[in-house]
Amino acid sequence: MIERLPPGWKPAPSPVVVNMYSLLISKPDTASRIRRFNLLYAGGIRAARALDAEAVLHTFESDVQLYVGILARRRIFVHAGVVEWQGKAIVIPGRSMSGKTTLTAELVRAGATYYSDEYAVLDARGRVHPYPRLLGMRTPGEGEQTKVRAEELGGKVGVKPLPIGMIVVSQYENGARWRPKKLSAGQGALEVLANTVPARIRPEESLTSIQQAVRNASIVKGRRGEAKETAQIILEALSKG
Amino acid sequence: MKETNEQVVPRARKAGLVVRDLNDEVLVYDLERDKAHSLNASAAFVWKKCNGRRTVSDVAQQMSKEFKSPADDQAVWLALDQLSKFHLLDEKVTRPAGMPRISRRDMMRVGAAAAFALPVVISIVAPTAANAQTSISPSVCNARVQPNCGGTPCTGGSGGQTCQPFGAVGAGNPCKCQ
Repeated sequence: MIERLPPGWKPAPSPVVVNMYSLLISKPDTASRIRRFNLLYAGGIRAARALDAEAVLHTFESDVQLYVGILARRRIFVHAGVVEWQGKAIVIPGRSMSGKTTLTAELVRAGATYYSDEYAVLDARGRVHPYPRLLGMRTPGEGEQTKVRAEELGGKVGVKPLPIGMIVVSQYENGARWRPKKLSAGQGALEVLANTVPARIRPEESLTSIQQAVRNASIVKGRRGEAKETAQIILEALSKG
Repeated sequence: MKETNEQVVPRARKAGLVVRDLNDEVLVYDLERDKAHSLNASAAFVWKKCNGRRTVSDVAQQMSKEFKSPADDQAVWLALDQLSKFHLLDEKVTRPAGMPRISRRDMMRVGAAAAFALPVVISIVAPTAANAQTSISPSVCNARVQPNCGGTPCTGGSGGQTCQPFGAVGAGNPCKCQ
Protein backbone atom coordinates (compact mmCIF):
# COMPACT_ATOMS: atom_id res chain seq x y z
CA MET A 1 0.00 0.00 0.00
CA ILE A 2 2.79 2.41 0.97
CA GLU A 3 4.56 1.75 -2.33
CA ARG A 4 1.46 2.86 -4.20
CA LEU A 5 1.51 6.35 -2.70
CA PRO A 6 3.09 9.11 -4.80
CA PRO A 7 6.88 9.46 -4.37
CA GLY A 8 7.75 11.98 -1.67
CA TRP A 9 4.51 11.50 0.28
CA LYS A 10 4.50 12.45 3.94
CA PRO A 11 1.90 12.63 6.70
CA ALA A 12 -0.01 15.92 6.59
CA PRO A 13 0.16 18.08 9.71
CA SER A 14 -3.28 19.55 8.96
CA PRO A 15 -6.38 17.68 10.17
CA VAL A 16 -8.30 18.96 7.12
CA VAL A 17 -9.11 16.19 4.63
CA VAL A 18 -8.93 17.42 1.04
CA ASN A 19 -9.83 14.17 -0.64
CA MET A 20 -10.69 10.84 0.93
CA TYR A 21 -10.15 7.38 -0.50
CA SER A 22 -11.74 4.30 1.02
CA LEU A 23 -10.52 0.85 0.13
CA LEU A 24 -12.52 -2.25 0.93
CA ILE A 25 -10.43 -5.34 0.30
CA SER A 26 -12.35 -8.55 0.84
CA LYS A 27 -10.87 -11.70 2.28
CA PRO A 28 -10.73 -14.53 -0.19
CA ASP A 29 -13.34 -17.14 0.74
CA THR A 30 -13.16 -20.21 -1.46
CA ALA A 31 -15.85 -22.00 0.53
CA SER A 32 -18.51 -19.39 -0.19
CA ARG A 33 -20.37 -19.02 -3.48
CA ILE A 34 -20.81 -15.32 -2.84
CA ARG A 35 -18.54 -13.20 -5.02
CA ARG A 36 -16.77 -10.73 -2.82
CA PHE A 37 -15.85 -7.58 -4.68
CA ASN A 38 -13.00 -5.30 -3.75
CA LEU A 39 -14.05 -1.67 -3.76
CA LEU A 40 -12.48 1.74 -4.02
CA TYR A 41 -14.28 4.95 -3.19
CA ALA A 42 -12.81 8.33 -4.08
CA GLY A 43 -14.43 11.34 -2.46
CA GLY A 44 -17.52 9.29 -1.66
CA ILE A 45 -17.91 8.07 -5.24
CA ARG A 46 -17.22 4.48 -6.16
CA ALA A 47 -14.11 4.54 -8.31
CA ALA A 48 -13.46 0.83 -8.81
CA ARG A 49 -15.08 -2.54 -8.21
CA ALA A 50 -13.42 -5.83 -9.04
CA LEU A 51 -12.84 -9.34 -7.79
CA ASP A 52 -9.15 -8.78 -8.44
CA ALA A 53 -7.78 -6.70 -5.55
CA GLU A 54 -4.72 -5.77 -7.60
CA ALA A 55 -6.91 -4.02 -10.18
CA VAL A 56 -8.55 -1.92 -7.47
CA LEU A 57 -5.20 -1.06 -5.89
CA HIS A 58 -3.82 -0.03 -9.28
CA THR A 59 -6.81 2.27 -9.79
CA PHE A 60 -6.11 3.80 -6.40
CA GLU A 61 -2.46 4.35 -7.33
CA SER A 62 -3.15 5.96 -10.70
CA ASP A 63 -6.02 8.07 -9.33
CA VAL A 64 -3.93 9.44 -6.48
CA GLN A 65 -1.05 10.23 -8.81
CA LEU A 66 -3.33 11.98 -11.28
CA TYR A 67 -4.99 13.90 -8.44
CA VAL A 68 -1.58 15.09 -7.24
CA GLY A 69 -0.63 15.96 -10.82
CA ILE A 70 -3.74 18.09 -11.23
CA LEU A 71 -3.53 19.89 -7.89
CA ALA A 72 0.22 20.29 -7.44
CA ARG A 73 1.02 23.95 -6.96
CA ARG A 74 4.16 25.40 -8.56
CA ARG A 75 4.71 22.12 -10.45
CA ILE A 76 3.59 20.94 -13.87
CA PHE A 77 3.19 17.19 -14.34
CA VAL A 78 3.98 15.89 -17.83
CA HIS A 79 3.56 12.24 -18.78
CA ALA A 80 7.13 11.26 -19.50
CA GLY A 81 10.01 9.04 -18.56
CA VAL A 82 13.02 10.93 -17.17
CA VAL A 83 16.66 10.03 -16.56
CA GLU A 84 19.77 12.07 -15.82
CA TRP A 85 22.91 11.91 -17.93
CA GLN A 86 25.94 14.10 -17.35
CA GLY A 87 24.04 16.62 -15.28
CA LYS A 88 21.10 17.05 -17.65
CA ALA A 89 17.73 15.42 -17.95
CA ILE A 90 16.62 13.27 -20.86
CA VAL A 91 12.85 13.51 -21.06
CA ILE A 92 10.75 10.99 -23.00
CA PRO A 93 7.18 12.31 -23.23
CA GLY A 94 4.44 9.91 -24.22
CA ARG A 95 1.33 8.06 -23.26
CA SER A 96 1.31 4.47 -22.13
CA MET A 97 2.24 1.81 -24.64
CA SER A 98 4.52 4.25 -26.47
CA GLY A 99 7.40 2.37 -24.85
CA LYS A 100 8.61 5.17 -22.62
CA THR A 101 9.10 2.96 -19.57
CA THR A 102 11.04 0.40 -21.64
CA LEU A 103 13.33 3.09 -23.00
CA THR A 104 13.69 4.68 -19.57
CA ALA A 105 14.67 1.29 -18.11
CA GLU A 106 17.27 0.70 -20.84
CA LEU A 107 18.77 4.14 -20.25
CA VAL A 108 19.06 3.27 -16.56
CA ARG A 109 20.65 -0.08 -17.40
CA ALA A 110 23.13 1.82 -19.60
CA GLY A 111 24.20 3.99 -16.68
CA ALA A 112 21.76 6.90 -16.56
CA THR A 113 20.26 7.96 -13.22
CA TYR A 114 16.57 7.24 -12.75
CA TYR A 115 14.11 10.10 -12.20
CA SER A 116 10.72 8.76 -13.27
CA ASP A 117 8.95 6.45 -15.69
CA GLU A 118 5.65 8.29 -15.44
CA TYR A 119 5.91 12.02 -14.80
CA ALA A 120 8.39 14.76 -15.63
CA VAL A 121 7.66 17.19 -12.82
CA LEU A 122 8.54 20.68 -14.07
CA ASP A 123 9.01 23.84 -12.07
CA ALA A 124 8.59 27.40 -13.35
CA ARG A 125 12.26 27.48 -14.40
CA GLY A 126 11.73 24.43 -16.57
CA ARG A 127 13.81 22.14 -14.38
CA VAL A 128 12.76 18.52 -13.86
CA HIS A 129 12.30 17.20 -10.33
CA PRO A 130 12.58 13.52 -9.42
CA TYR A 131 9.40 11.47 -9.22
CA PRO A 132 10.98 8.07 -8.66
CA ARG A 133 8.07 5.70 -8.38
CA LEU A 134 8.72 2.02 -9.08
CA LEU A 135 9.07 1.35 -12.79
CA GLY A 136 5.94 -0.26 -14.24
CA MET A 137 7.43 -2.78 -16.66
CA ARG A 138 5.12 -4.57 -19.08
CA THR A 139 5.71 -7.98 -20.57
CA PRO A 140 5.59 -7.65 -24.36
CA GLY A 141 2.02 -8.09 -25.59
CA GLU A 142 0.57 -7.89 -22.09
CA GLY A 143 -1.22 -5.02 -20.43
CA GLU A 144 -0.33 -5.98 -16.85
CA GLN A 145 2.62 -4.32 -15.15
CA THR A 146 5.37 -5.63 -12.92
CA LYS A 147 6.87 -3.14 -10.48
CA VAL A 148 10.66 -2.87 -10.57
CA ARG A 149 13.06 -0.76 -8.51
CA ALA A 150 15.72 1.25 -10.36
CA GLU A 151 18.34 -0.49 -8.22
CA GLU A 152 17.21 -3.84 -9.64
CA LEU A 153 18.23 -2.51 -13.07
CA GLY A 154 21.64 -1.58 -11.72
CA GLY A 155 20.77 2.10 -11.54
CA LYS A 156 20.43 4.74 -8.89
CA VAL A 157 17.76 7.31 -8.19
CA GLY A 158 18.29 11.05 -8.70
CA VAL A 159 17.52 13.63 -6.04
CA LYS A 160 18.27 17.07 -7.53
CA PRO A 161 16.24 19.13 -10.01
CA LEU A 162 17.85 19.28 -13.47
CA PRO A 163 17.71 21.37 -16.63
CA ILE A 164 16.60 19.42 -19.69
CA GLY A 165 19.33 18.43 -22.13
CA MET A 166 17.29 16.36 -24.52
CA ILE A 167 13.65 15.58 -25.28
CA VAL A 168 13.10 12.28 -27.08
CA VAL A 169 9.73 11.80 -28.78
CA SER A 170 9.67 8.19 -29.86
CA GLN A 171 7.27 5.44 -30.76
CA TYR A 172 8.24 1.79 -30.77
CA GLU A 173 8.01 0.04 -34.11
CA ASN A 174 9.25 -3.48 -34.60
CA GLY A 175 12.39 -3.46 -36.74
CA ALA A 176 12.66 0.34 -36.96
CA ARG A 177 16.04 2.05 -36.81
CA TRP A 178 16.49 5.12 -34.64
CA ARG A 179 17.03 7.92 -37.16
CA PRO A 180 15.26 10.82 -35.52
CA LYS A 181 14.64 14.24 -37.01
CA LYS A 182 15.35 17.38 -35.06
CA LEU A 183 12.40 19.42 -33.91
CA SER A 184 12.35 23.15 -33.23
CA ALA A 185 11.66 24.43 -29.73
CA GLY A 186 8.10 25.28 -30.74
CA GLN A 187 7.42 21.85 -32.18
CA GLY A 188 8.96 20.27 -29.09
CA ALA A 189 6.83 22.43 -26.83
CA LEU A 190 3.67 21.10 -28.48
CA GLU A 191 4.89 17.51 -28.05
CA VAL A 192 5.37 18.19 -24.33
CA LEU A 193 2.08 20.06 -23.96
CA ALA A 194 0.21 17.14 -25.55
CA ASN A 195 1.25 15.09 -22.50
CA THR A 196 0.77 17.75 -19.84
CA VAL A 197 -1.74 16.87 -17.12
CA PRO A 198 -2.90 20.41 -16.18
CA ALA A 199 -2.68 21.79 -19.76
CA ARG A 200 -6.30 22.91 -19.72
CA ILE A 201 -6.55 23.56 -16.00
CA ARG A 202 -3.49 25.84 -15.71
CA PRO A 203 -2.46 26.73 -19.27
CA GLU A 204 -0.48 29.85 -18.31
CA GLU A 205 1.71 28.02 -15.79
CA SER A 206 2.00 25.03 -18.12
CA LEU A 207 3.23 27.18 -21.00
CA THR A 208 5.69 29.04 -18.79
CA SER A 209 7.26 25.82 -17.51
CA ILE A 210 7.35 24.25 -20.96
CA GLN A 211 8.81 27.43 -22.50
CA GLN A 212 11.69 27.31 -20.03
CA ALA A 213 12.07 23.55 -20.28
CA VAL A 214 12.48 23.34 -24.07
CA ARG A 215 14.42 26.56 -24.61
CA ASN A 216 17.88 25.02 -24.49
CA ALA A 217 17.01 21.37 -25.06
CA SER A 218 17.85 19.31 -28.09
CA ILE A 219 14.55 17.82 -29.31
CA VAL A 220 14.35 14.75 -31.52
CA LYS A 221 11.48 12.65 -32.83
CA GLY A 222 11.33 9.33 -34.59
CA ARG A 223 10.41 5.68 -34.59
CA ARG A 224 12.63 3.41 -32.66
CA GLY A 225 13.30 -0.30 -32.68
CA GLU A 226 14.80 -2.09 -29.72
CA ALA A 227 15.12 0.14 -26.66
CA LYS A 228 18.59 -1.10 -25.76
CA GLU A 229 20.09 0.00 -29.07
CA THR A 230 18.23 3.33 -29.00
CA ALA A 231 19.38 4.03 -25.44
CA GLN A 232 23.02 3.54 -26.43
CA ILE A 233 22.68 5.87 -29.41
CA ILE A 234 21.00 8.56 -27.29
CA LEU A 235 23.66 8.47 -24.58
CA GLU A 236 26.50 8.47 -27.12
CA ALA A 237 24.96 11.47 -28.90
CA LEU A 238 24.70 13.36 -25.62
CA SER A 239 28.22 12.42 -24.56
CA LYS A 240 29.59 13.84 -27.83
CA GLY A 241 27.62 17.02 -27.17
CA MET B 1 -9.80 43.17 -40.20
CA LYS B 2 -10.17 46.48 -41.99
CA GLU B 3 -9.85 47.18 -45.67
CA THR B 4 -8.42 50.46 -46.88
CA ASN B 5 -8.69 51.06 -50.62
CA GLU B 6 -9.18 47.33 -50.96
CA GLN B 7 -5.99 46.74 -48.97
CA VAL B 8 -6.34 44.14 -46.26
CA VAL B 9 -5.07 45.32 -42.86
CA PRO B 10 -5.21 42.31 -40.52
CA ARG B 11 -5.07 42.61 -36.75
CA ALA B 12 -3.63 39.92 -34.48
CA ARG B 13 -6.04 38.60 -31.87
CA LYS B 14 -4.99 39.37 -28.30
CA ALA B 15 -7.96 38.41 -26.14
CA GLY B 16 -8.22 34.92 -24.71
CA LEU B 17 -4.70 33.91 -25.65
CA VAL B 18 -1.66 32.94 -23.62
CA VAL B 19 1.47 33.80 -25.59
CA ARG B 20 5.04 32.73 -24.93
CA ASP B 21 8.10 33.54 -27.05
CA LEU B 22 10.37 30.61 -27.78
CA ASN B 23 13.60 31.84 -29.31
CA ASP B 24 12.27 33.19 -32.64
CA GLU B 25 9.11 31.08 -32.54
CA VAL B 26 5.91 31.76 -30.64
CA LEU B 27 3.79 29.40 -28.59
CA VAL B 28 0.11 30.34 -28.29
CA TYR B 29 -2.65 28.81 -26.15
CA ASP B 30 -6.23 29.60 -27.12
CA LEU B 31 -8.21 29.69 -23.88
CA GLU B 32 -11.54 29.68 -25.70
CA ARG B 33 -10.86 26.59 -27.78
CA ASP B 34 -8.26 24.79 -25.65
CA LYS B 35 -5.92 24.57 -28.58
CA ALA B 36 -2.20 25.27 -28.66
CA HIS B 37 -0.30 26.57 -31.66
CA SER B 38 3.35 26.83 -32.54
CA LEU B 39 4.21 29.62 -34.98
CA ASN B 40 7.56 29.31 -36.70
CA ALA B 41 9.75 32.40 -37.09
CA SER B 42 8.16 33.79 -40.23
CA ALA B 43 4.58 33.07 -39.13
CA ALA B 44 5.35 34.66 -35.75
CA PHE B 45 6.83 37.70 -37.47
CA VAL B 46 3.74 38.22 -39.63
CA TRP B 47 1.42 37.71 -36.64
CA LYS B 48 3.28 40.28 -34.55
CA LYS B 49 3.16 42.82 -37.36
CA CYS B 50 -0.61 42.55 -37.79
CA ASN B 51 -1.70 45.66 -35.90
CA GLY B 52 -4.77 46.65 -37.88
CA ARG B 53 -2.90 49.46 -39.66
CA ARG B 54 -0.27 47.72 -41.76
CA THR B 55 -1.30 46.37 -45.12
CA VAL B 56 -0.20 43.00 -46.42
CA SER B 57 2.35 44.75 -48.63
CA ASP B 58 3.70 46.68 -45.63
CA VAL B 59 4.21 43.44 -43.74
CA ALA B 60 5.86 41.86 -46.80
CA GLN B 61 8.32 44.76 -46.98
CA GLN B 62 9.19 44.46 -43.31
CA MET B 63 9.55 40.72 -43.72
CA SER B 64 12.07 41.27 -46.51
CA LYS B 65 14.11 43.54 -44.25
CA GLU B 66 13.92 41.27 -41.23
CA PHE B 67 14.91 38.11 -43.05
CA LYS B 68 17.19 39.88 -45.56
CA SER B 69 15.46 38.11 -48.39
CA PRO B 70 12.75 39.16 -50.84
CA ALA B 71 9.29 38.36 -49.50
CA ASP B 72 6.17 39.10 -51.51
CA ASP B 73 2.51 39.35 -50.57
CA GLN B 74 2.06 35.63 -51.23
CA ALA B 75 4.43 34.74 -48.37
CA VAL B 76 2.43 36.98 -46.03
CA TRP B 77 -0.84 35.51 -47.25
CA LEU B 78 0.49 32.04 -46.62
CA ALA B 79 0.87 33.06 -42.96
CA LEU B 80 -2.45 34.92 -42.85
CA ASP B 81 -4.37 31.95 -44.25
CA GLN B 82 -3.11 29.80 -41.39
CA LEU B 83 -3.47 32.48 -38.71
CA SER B 84 -7.04 33.07 -39.86
CA LYS B 85 -7.84 29.35 -39.92
CA PHE B 86 -6.62 28.96 -36.33
CA HIS B 87 -8.54 32.02 -35.09
CA LEU B 88 -5.39 34.02 -34.33
CA LEU B 89 -6.66 37.15 -36.07
CA ASP B 90 -9.40 39.44 -34.79
CA GLU B 91 -11.39 38.80 -37.93
CA LYS B 92 -11.07 36.29 -40.70
CA VAL B 93 -9.18 37.56 -43.72
CA THR B 94 -9.91 36.76 -47.31
CA ARG B 95 -7.58 37.23 -50.21
CA PRO B 96 -8.43 40.02 -52.62
CA ALA B 97 -10.25 38.95 -55.74
CA GLY B 98 -7.80 37.82 -58.34
CA MET B 99 -5.17 36.63 -55.90
CA PRO B 100 -5.07 32.86 -56.16
CA ARG B 101 -4.33 30.68 -53.16
CA ILE B 102 -0.84 29.24 -53.52
CA SER B 103 0.13 26.23 -51.49
CA ARG B 104 3.28 26.04 -49.45
CA ARG B 105 4.53 23.36 -51.82
CA ASP B 106 4.00 25.62 -54.83
CA MET B 107 5.81 28.46 -53.11
CA MET B 108 8.76 26.23 -52.37
CA ARG B 109 8.75 25.04 -55.98
CA VAL B 110 9.07 28.52 -57.40
CA GLY B 111 11.73 29.30 -54.85
CA ALA B 112 9.92 32.15 -53.21
CA ALA B 113 11.16 33.08 -49.76
CA ALA B 114 14.14 30.82 -50.23
CA ALA B 115 16.22 32.46 -47.53
CA PHE B 116 13.74 31.89 -44.71
CA ALA B 117 11.47 29.07 -43.69
CA LEU B 118 7.98 29.57 -45.07
CA PRO B 119 5.34 30.47 -42.50
CA VAL B 120 3.98 27.42 -40.69
CA VAL B 121 1.49 27.17 -37.84
CA ILE B 122 1.23 23.79 -36.11
CA SER B 123 -1.74 23.15 -33.88
CA ILE B 124 -2.87 20.60 -31.29
CA VAL B 125 -5.92 20.19 -29.09
CA ALA B 126 -4.79 20.47 -25.46
CA PRO B 127 -5.37 17.23 -23.57
CA THR B 128 -7.76 16.99 -20.66
CA ALA B 129 -6.19 15.70 -17.45
CA ALA B 130 -7.89 12.34 -18.00
CA ASN B 131 -6.68 12.17 -21.59
CA ALA B 132 -3.15 12.88 -20.50
CA GLN B 133 -3.45 10.07 -17.99
CA THR B 134 -1.61 6.90 -18.67
CA SER B 135 -3.60 4.01 -20.07
CA ILE B 136 -4.18 0.93 -17.99
CA SER B 137 -4.48 -2.83 -18.19
CA PRO B 138 -7.79 -4.53 -19.11
CA SER B 139 -8.52 -5.72 -15.58
CA VAL B 140 -7.83 -2.29 -14.10
CA CYS B 141 -9.87 -0.61 -16.82
CA ASN B 142 -12.79 -2.98 -16.25
CA ALA B 143 -12.67 -2.30 -12.51
CA ARG B 144 -12.76 1.45 -12.88
CA VAL B 145 -15.88 3.51 -12.34
CA GLN B 146 -15.85 7.04 -13.71
CA PRO B 147 -18.17 9.79 -12.53
CA ASN B 148 -21.17 10.22 -14.85
CA CYS B 149 -21.04 6.64 -15.95
CA GLY B 150 -24.03 5.24 -14.18
CA GLY B 151 -22.06 3.93 -11.22
CA THR B 152 -20.98 0.77 -13.00
CA PRO B 153 -17.44 -0.32 -13.84
CA CYS B 154 -16.02 0.20 -17.30
CA THR B 155 -16.42 -2.46 -19.94
CA GLY B 156 -14.57 -3.67 -22.99
CA GLY B 157 -10.95 -3.40 -21.90
CA SER B 158 -8.37 -4.89 -24.19
CA GLY B 159 -5.19 -3.34 -22.86
CA GLY B 160 -3.47 0.00 -23.20
CA GLN B 161 -6.68 1.95 -22.86
CA THR B 162 -8.33 4.39 -20.52
CA CYS B 163 -11.80 4.28 -19.04
CA GLN B 164 -13.84 7.06 -20.61
CA PRO B 165 -17.49 7.97 -21.00
CA PHE B 166 -18.91 6.44 -24.15
CA GLY B 167 -21.32 8.62 -26.04
CA ALA B 168 -23.16 11.39 -24.22
CA VAL B 169 -21.96 11.99 -20.69
CA GLY B 170 -24.70 11.65 -18.12
CA ALA B 171 -26.18 9.49 -15.42
CA GLY B 172 -26.86 5.99 -16.63
CA ASN B 173 -24.45 6.10 -19.53
CA PRO B 174 -21.76 3.43 -19.26
CA CYS B 175 -18.05 4.03 -19.55
CA LYS B 176 -15.99 1.97 -21.92
CA CYS B 177 -12.31 1.20 -22.10
CA GLN B 178 -11.21 3.12 -25.14
